[in-house]
Amino acid sequence: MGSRASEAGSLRASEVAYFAGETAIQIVPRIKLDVLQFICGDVPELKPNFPAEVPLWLAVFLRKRDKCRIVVPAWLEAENLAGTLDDEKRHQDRFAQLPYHYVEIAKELLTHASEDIVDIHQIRNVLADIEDHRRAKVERGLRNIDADTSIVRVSNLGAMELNRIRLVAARALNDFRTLDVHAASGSGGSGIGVTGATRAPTMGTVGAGGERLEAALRRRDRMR
Amino acid sequence: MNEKFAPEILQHKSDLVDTIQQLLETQAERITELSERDFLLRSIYEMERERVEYLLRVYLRTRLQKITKYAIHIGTSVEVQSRLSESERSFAQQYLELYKEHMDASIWNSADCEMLPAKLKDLSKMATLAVQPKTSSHVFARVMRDCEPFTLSDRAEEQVELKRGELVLLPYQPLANLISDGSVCLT
Repeated sequence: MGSRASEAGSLRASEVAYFAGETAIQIVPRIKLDVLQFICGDVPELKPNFPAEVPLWLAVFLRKRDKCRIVVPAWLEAENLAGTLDDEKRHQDRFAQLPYHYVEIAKELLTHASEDIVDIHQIRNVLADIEDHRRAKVERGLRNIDADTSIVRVSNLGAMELNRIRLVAARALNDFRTLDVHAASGSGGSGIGVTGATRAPTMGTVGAGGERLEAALRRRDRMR
Repeated sequence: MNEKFAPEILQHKSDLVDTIQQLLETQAERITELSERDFLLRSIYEMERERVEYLLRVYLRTRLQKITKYAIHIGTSVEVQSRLSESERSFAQQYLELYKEHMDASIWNSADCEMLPAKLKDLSKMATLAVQPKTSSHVFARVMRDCEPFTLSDRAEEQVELKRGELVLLPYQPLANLISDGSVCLT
């Protein structure tokens, strides 16, 4: 990956993870800490054994030094995750409700606060199942993009999931639009012929996008 | 983030940038005032400062990327120039001058081009070099508040309605106003 900055219009996975760092997470401090006067606003005083809300990055920072215990967010509890998975299976046409940064938050907490989480294996498994189901939905969704698509509604899609399809999906729509303009400027019957001929390779692009997506996903799985 | 994902360069948020730069400085002073022994506190403050500084850098660098990419386009449009900060404007100007010099030296002077009229050598008339922002490209947007129905283009008849909290992929152009008034955020 290196330290090269991402181009305008795209984000690297590590940059997406940066934004997740602002999510509020509940912790139980083991130490006393005065009010933190941050640039982004104050974080109230921390007292031992009094639960408090802090940004995820600070929670992880303190946890790594054993200065606090992290309270698992309700949505990441095994029971609720199972419910989410059911929801995900039942409704094939939409995504179940999860925090926008669910992938990144879960990864951070499962890595750095594993001792604070009961049922950690179960949570890992269910989470992986949920991700699989959502990934399948995303792929199906991508295949459904065609020349008549002008707007795609993806409510409840996670930040990582969105980032993964950003270029593929946007480019497919851009290409369709360019072809559409050309087709519209062509005249009558021959115009339709042109549309038919040019549409085929573009469908190929969407398919290739799907394959690229799958390859990227496989790479990501290997990295785990 | 709007700046990151918008295909064109947006209005420079100079007030915000100034405020953040000031805050970064005061915070740096506060960190030096902390006692050496308070290692934990120091590193927490430093980490937060770095996070904010990073974000500011991404913002400014994204703008520089766009300025170099659309340099010729910016040079021809007063409206776009008004969106830049003072230092960005002088950067854009100098970049454009250097670019012109480079083109003169490497192309016009190297071949028998002296007979060509100056009009033909005008860079801003060359479509392949004067890259225009693709405002028709598609972007992901989060809807911050309910929006009045609008059409995606002049040709389209279908009205689009956006509800608060939705996440959508759609063309940038009809969104431009909604972005500047904060109704939607690019993501």
